[in-house]
Formats: sequence, C-alpha cells, structure tokens
Amino acid sequence: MIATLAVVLVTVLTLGVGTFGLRFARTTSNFFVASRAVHPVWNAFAVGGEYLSAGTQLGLAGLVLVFGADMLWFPAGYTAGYLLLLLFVAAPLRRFGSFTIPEFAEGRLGSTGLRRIAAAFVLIIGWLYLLPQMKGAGITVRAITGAPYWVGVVLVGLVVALNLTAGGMRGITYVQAFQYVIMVLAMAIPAIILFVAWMADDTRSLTQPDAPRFAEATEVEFRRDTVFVVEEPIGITTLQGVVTDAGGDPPTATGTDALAVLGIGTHTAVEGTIVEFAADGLVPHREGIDATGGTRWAAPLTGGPGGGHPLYFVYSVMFATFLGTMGLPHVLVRFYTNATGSDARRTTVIVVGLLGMFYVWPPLLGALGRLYTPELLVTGETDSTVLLLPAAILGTDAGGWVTGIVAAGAVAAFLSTSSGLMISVASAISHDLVGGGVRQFRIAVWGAAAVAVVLGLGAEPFQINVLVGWAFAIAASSFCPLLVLGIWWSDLTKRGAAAGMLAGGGAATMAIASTMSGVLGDGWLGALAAAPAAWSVPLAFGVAIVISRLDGEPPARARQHLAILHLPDPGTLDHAPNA
Amino acid sequence: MPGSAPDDLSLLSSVNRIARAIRSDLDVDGAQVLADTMLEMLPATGVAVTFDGAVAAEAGELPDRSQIVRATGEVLDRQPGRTPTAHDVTVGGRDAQLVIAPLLIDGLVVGTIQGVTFGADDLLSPMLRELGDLVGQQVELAELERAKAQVAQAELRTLQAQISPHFLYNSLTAIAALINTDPLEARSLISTFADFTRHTFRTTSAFTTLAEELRLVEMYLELERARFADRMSVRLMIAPEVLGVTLPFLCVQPLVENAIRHGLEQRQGHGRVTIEAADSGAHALITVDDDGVGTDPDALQAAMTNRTSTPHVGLLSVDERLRSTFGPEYGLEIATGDGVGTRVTMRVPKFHPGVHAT
Repeated sequence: MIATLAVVLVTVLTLGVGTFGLRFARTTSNFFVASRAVHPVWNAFAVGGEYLSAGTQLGLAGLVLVFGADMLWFPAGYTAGYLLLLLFVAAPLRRFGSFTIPEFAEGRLGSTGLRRIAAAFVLIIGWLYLLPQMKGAGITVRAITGAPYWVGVVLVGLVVALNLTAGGMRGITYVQAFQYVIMVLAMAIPAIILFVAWMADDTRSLTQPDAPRFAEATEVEFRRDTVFVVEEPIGITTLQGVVTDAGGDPPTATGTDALAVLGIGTHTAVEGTIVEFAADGLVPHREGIDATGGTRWAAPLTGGPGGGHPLYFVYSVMFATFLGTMGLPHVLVRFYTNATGSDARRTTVIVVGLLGMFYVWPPLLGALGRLYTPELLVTGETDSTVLLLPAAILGTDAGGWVTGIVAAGAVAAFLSTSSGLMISVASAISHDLVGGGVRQFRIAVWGAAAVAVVLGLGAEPFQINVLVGWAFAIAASSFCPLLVLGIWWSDLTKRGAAAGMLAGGGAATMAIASTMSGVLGDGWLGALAAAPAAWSVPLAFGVAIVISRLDGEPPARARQHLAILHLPDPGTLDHAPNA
Repeated sequence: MPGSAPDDLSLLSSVNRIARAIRSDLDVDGAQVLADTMLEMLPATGVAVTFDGAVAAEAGELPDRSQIVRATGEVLDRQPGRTPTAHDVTVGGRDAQLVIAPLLIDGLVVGTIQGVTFGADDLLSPMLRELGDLVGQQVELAELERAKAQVAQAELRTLQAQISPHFLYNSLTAIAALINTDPLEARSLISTFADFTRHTFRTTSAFTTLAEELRLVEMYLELERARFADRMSVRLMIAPEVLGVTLPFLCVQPLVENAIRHGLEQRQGHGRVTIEAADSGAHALITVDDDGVGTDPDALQAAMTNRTSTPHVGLLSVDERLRSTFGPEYGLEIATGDGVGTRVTMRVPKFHPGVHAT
C-alpha cells in the first residue's frame, strides 16, 4: 500500500513538474533569467537521472547476488564510460552542435546514407535498452501490487508516451535532475537501513565458505516452468502445483508429515507451483546459474553469465561499458543543453562523481540479498532482490516503508530512462529516417512505445542487467568507432565509417540475437556471442580504418570539421591570458 | 579503358561523377576529375580542359602545350557555336586530330574540352559536343546556387538596413524626451541603442544561437519600452535546452518587431507579447505571440506566397531565409485574424549540416 502510494507519487510528480510546474516557473519577463543556460551541475544531475536505469536500480544487485565480485565491473564500467566520454567526445561533439549521433554522422562525413545507417542503430540500441526498463516496470508493479507482469509494462509505455506527446518535455532537464536525486536517495536510504539491520542481526555472515542455506522455512513461487538443480537433498512441502525430478516422478514423501525430500539432481517445477523449502537446507539453484560457495562468490574471475570463461567475460564487459556509454543515443543528446564545449566537459566530470555516489549501494544490497533472499536463486528472478529484501530483513510492516522508497527510485529510473530513449527512437524515426515535423514526431513516439511494450512483454525471462550490457555492447561496436574516429581522425571516409558501423554493430547485433534465441551452447562460441564487445569493437575500428585507407577519399571539408570540433569555443578565447 | 567505347553503366556513372565534380566547384581539382573521367568515357587517347585560354587539367597522351594553346586560341577567336572543330596536331611524332568543343555559359565561351584521336573523329566529336553541353549546364546550375546564397545574404543586408528608419526615429525621439527628465535612463538607453546597432550590423556570420538572438531582442525591447512605457508587457517562456540552437541571424527580433509595430502599436490599451521556445525532439519550436490588432489572414497569405510588397516585410524575409537555410518545409507558420492578435511559429532543427554559429 505504502509502496503503491510512493510509486504513484513519483509518477504524478514527474508528470506534474514536467507539464505545469516549470511552465509556471519559467514564465518571466526577465531576459536574464529566461536566457540563462542550464548550469553544468544541473545538467550533470539530469544526465545522471537519464542514465541510471532500471538496470542499475534493480538488476545490478541481483547480478551481484548470483555471481559475486566479477559483477562489480558493471558499475565500474558504467562510470568509467563517462571518463572516456569526457576525454574523447563530450566537448568536441558539443562544439560541433549536432544533437543526435545520426546528425553527427551526416554533418561530419556528408552522407545521408550514413545518417540512415546510424539511425537504424539508434533504433536497435534504443529498443534493446527499453526492454530492461519495461521489465523493471513489470516486476516493480507486480512486487508492490501483485498485478500481473504485463500491467507495469503497459503502464510505463502509456505514461511515457502520453507525457512526451502532451507537452511533458517542458523542463525535462529539471525533471531528470529531480529523478537522479530520488534514485540516489532510494538506493542509499534502504541500503543504510538494511545494512544497520544486518549488523544488529549477528546470525548471518557473509564470510561463510558454502553456498547459501535457507535460514528458515521459505515459500517459493514459480511463475514459469523452471528447471532447478539440487546439490544436497532438501525437504519440501508442495503447497500447490507439481515438482518432478529428471525422470518425471514427484518427490517421495518420507514419513507422515507430508514433507517430501528432493534428491540430488535436476527438478522441474511447472508454472504456478508454490513450495516451501525446509530450513537449513542448501538453496537449490536454477539451471544455468552456478551454485557459488561464499569463497568463490567473493573472489574475482570465478564466474558470471560468461559461463566457464570469466576472464573473457570481464574484458568484454569492460569493452562494452567503457566504450558503449558514449554511443548511447539518449545520453549524448543531453550534452546539447550545455552552452559550450567546456561546460559539457565540466558536466561530464560531475557525472562521474554522481554515478560513483550511486553505484556504491547496489553491490551492498546484492550481498545482503545473498543472506536474506537466497530463494531467488531457485527461480532465477534475482532482478527482484532489491524489492523483496526490505520485507525479508525488516518484516512486512517496516519493510513495506522501505520497499516503498526502493520502488519510488525504480519508477524514477525507468520513467526517466524510458523517456530519454523514446525521444531518441522517435527522433530517429521522424527526423532521420522519415523526415517530418511535430505531428510525425508524436506519431513516432506512440509507435516507439508500442514496439517497446510488445518487446517488453517478452523480456521477462532475461536478466535486466544482461539486457543493458547488450545494449552497451552494440553501442560500443557501432557508434564508438564513428564518434572517436570521426572526431579525431581526418582521414575517416563515409564508406569507412559505414563499413565499420555495419561490421561491428551488425556482428554484435547478430551475436546477441543468436544468444537470445538460445541456439548457441555453453562453449567458447556461446561465450563469444553472449559478450561480443571484446571482439566486435576492435573489428569495427579495424574495418573502419582499413576501408577508409583503401577508399582514400576523405570528405571535402574534413579539416574544417575537425577545426570546428577541436578549436576552443567561440568567445572563450577572450578569457585566455594575453600573449 | 582509354580509346574504347565504355558500356552504358560506366558511362552513366562517369556522367554522374562529372556532374558532381562541377556542381561542388569547378576549380583545379574539379577540372582534373573532369579530365580523368573524360579519358575513361571518350574514345580518345588524351583529353584536356581549358579555362580562359589556359590548360586547367589534362590526362592521357596529348600534343605539347603550344599546339593545344594555338588550337584553343583559334577556337576562341572564332567564337563558334556548339559544334566541335577538329585540328591537325602531332602527338609523339604521329599525326593526330585534336577535337575541341567549346564550353558555353550564358552564350559565352568560357573554356573548352578537348580530345585527341589518331583515327577518324566520327564518334569523338558528337560525344564532346554533348559533354560540352552538360558541363555548361552544370556550371550554370552551380552559379545559380551561388547566386541563391548571395540573394539570401543580400536579403539579410536589406533587413539590417530596413530596421533603421522607422525604429531609429522612434528610439531617438523617445530618448530625447527623457534627456531632461531622466538623464540616467536616457544615458543607459543610448548605450543600449549603440549595442543594438553594433549587433545588428555585424557581418561576421550569417548564423547565431537562440541565446544571442534573445539578447538582441532584449535590447530591442528595452528601446521600444522607452516609447511604450507601461502599455506593453513581455512574457518569456524559454526552455533552456534549446538556447544553443543555431539559426539564421536576425530571425526572432523581426518577429518581435512585427508583433509590436503591426500588432500592439495600433491597439488601444495594454498589449502583451509572448516569446516561447520549446523543446520538441530534434527540433526547437520558437513562437512569438501578440494580442494586438492582428491582420487579414488572406491578404497576408497572398503577400507571403506571391512575395508582393507588404508591411510585414520582416516576416517575409525571415520566412525566406529559414527556407533557404533549412529547406522548404521550414517556413514560418502564422496564425492571425482581424482583431485577434498574431501568432508566428518557426520550427528550427537543432542541428543542420553546414549551419554553425561562430
């Protein structure tokens, strides 16, 4: 109830501030006030608000719960991406004046074809990145109201599309800055409260060497047909539905108290089954998730969604997140709000700090999740960790309040990120691909939202943060070479840029599509496809450079463009010391 | 392969390449592209391009320069029609024919294209003639585009000049009236006036940012207020996200001036101008709205489409320059009627290739 209120409150505030509040506040007869640029600090908050998504608000803690230390590379990489953005992209791109990446492609290399290719990648990245937001909405609404998964997905699609088409873009900077603040508080406050509660409860220790055990008898609901692995016989009571072993037999009952024992091996629970696991049992885990003992969990290079290739996986995550941030279509557009290149740079520096303030908390919650909600390993629904943890630690009364705070943060996260992504996707459709005005943009927003909702309905089986990682991988393989070479290398040609983007981005997209469809196994091929950035990014750079060299026909105004990109902002020379 | 007739597809692509090279700029590089491509497509062993009697580019086997210059001279002296003429020359000791086609622009010979053949010229000559036509047309088109840009530039100059008479007179009389009663205010107005004229008459760049343009509007309004005193109020709703939008210089101020001169000035009592800039995806929407007397929409529509003389010359010029900068779909959108005020909206792309404020 409290959580529902919190969610509604954040939504209403977001819509209200966007539509009415700032309309009123911005009406002035004072030119000085009206034409004051957004301060770099404000814009940094807005960038943070737009960037932090359901992936980090919900997904990250779940990944840490399952896979442990290696997953810390995700928050590190999400932050480090801004360092590279700062070093190579932010200021030059702002000076160039382009609003979107497709516009940069056309402006810099003089090719409408290239702009269309770039716009196509904006659609791929945008929609792929919208999936985890939709899933976040689905599970958040389900966790706090009990409504089916699709309700949240449809709601967020409707709210965002309505907001964007009904003038909600007024004051978007301040709305997103406000959302950053909500998100940080919604992470920090619960994390501190839960941490203190854990310290006070000295029955559970993070340093035990084994895999987690049920501290008390625990009820688990299977929302989907689930195959899970039992490593040590465990007693269960089936409250509803059926659990069968590999041979298709239900567990044998021992004794008269209806308590059956699941033997070692794989078992299947059909959709809708509810069972209660006995206390002290070793927690079974869904097929595909490693049973990690505490020692292994805490040590680096021991596991991860990369299966048996943790080192490769870590490097691939580094490539994707370090280089993918600059290629996220909804992030770069925010820098347009900065008045100058140096302001863009200042904003980026502050963003690194703001992200750091946020990212210390999710790993802590993930670790606590291992102690208090280990049953999520059975169903694999670890994206719900943060939402379920407060009630598991504090009980449903006090926990309800904390869950409300968490849910408010999650709502802010998926509303802000979805808005930004839908603006980018709709702009790519209406501005870069079709060409049109305000009306076409509105139609495109509804179209983009409809596609996102349909895809989002199918996103439930995927880990939120894994989906986010894929969006980063495609961004890194397609837009990073375009931006870095386009800004720093005058010999880049339009054919080189197009070939690099298609080779890297195309290969990454196909690798991820085949991983999602599950046709690849667990071997090296599967590992390479599940985390493609480590090979697809170098491939994209290589192809772009080689083709440009062979082509040997850089656009006519390459040098002028490089001058615009790199010469100091007009006006700032006045402040330079006199020679 | 030089000397043999190319197939249709490569011929088309050659023609296309020539057209592009010329449209962008027929300088030395363009002439070389033209010569190289001609060598590929013509049944000639060597080709040359001349401008103003001098050889601008050559490719393949050619007679020595003196022979080319002499033959070219003959052609230029004769001021021929479009038909190519053949001249006897020697290339590497062998007798050959140099076929020269004139490049005619506006009926004047500005240059030639030439091809060398050792055999009969029955294919070379008609091909050169057609190619000469094509090159001439493309050069004319390129000049037309340059002329269009110059017209837009001239339009801006006219607008800069037009601000003065009416406005100069009004501002100066308003300031004069204040000199005795409020010398401090008068002094500040005079320096605003100086700033305004300096900004308006600047010639460094055709583009500016919305933030800069708003500063110009502010100065303009300050001067107008001296005259209107409390009869006018201004409301601003500017989305800070679009302050950095680049737009043609003097695009917003004329709209405000139009609102005051043709809207508020003729109205009884208090009037209000609202200037709004909103974020709309990849575009910014800039609106200037007044509650003045408005105007007859049909008459304004007719004046805008036929570009006839109208008192709303500022609107006309802004409309023209927006279209020539961003494309035909970016004209002004005007909603007005007698007695209901006027609302002018412009849509500006946040980025447009080649448009940079400096």
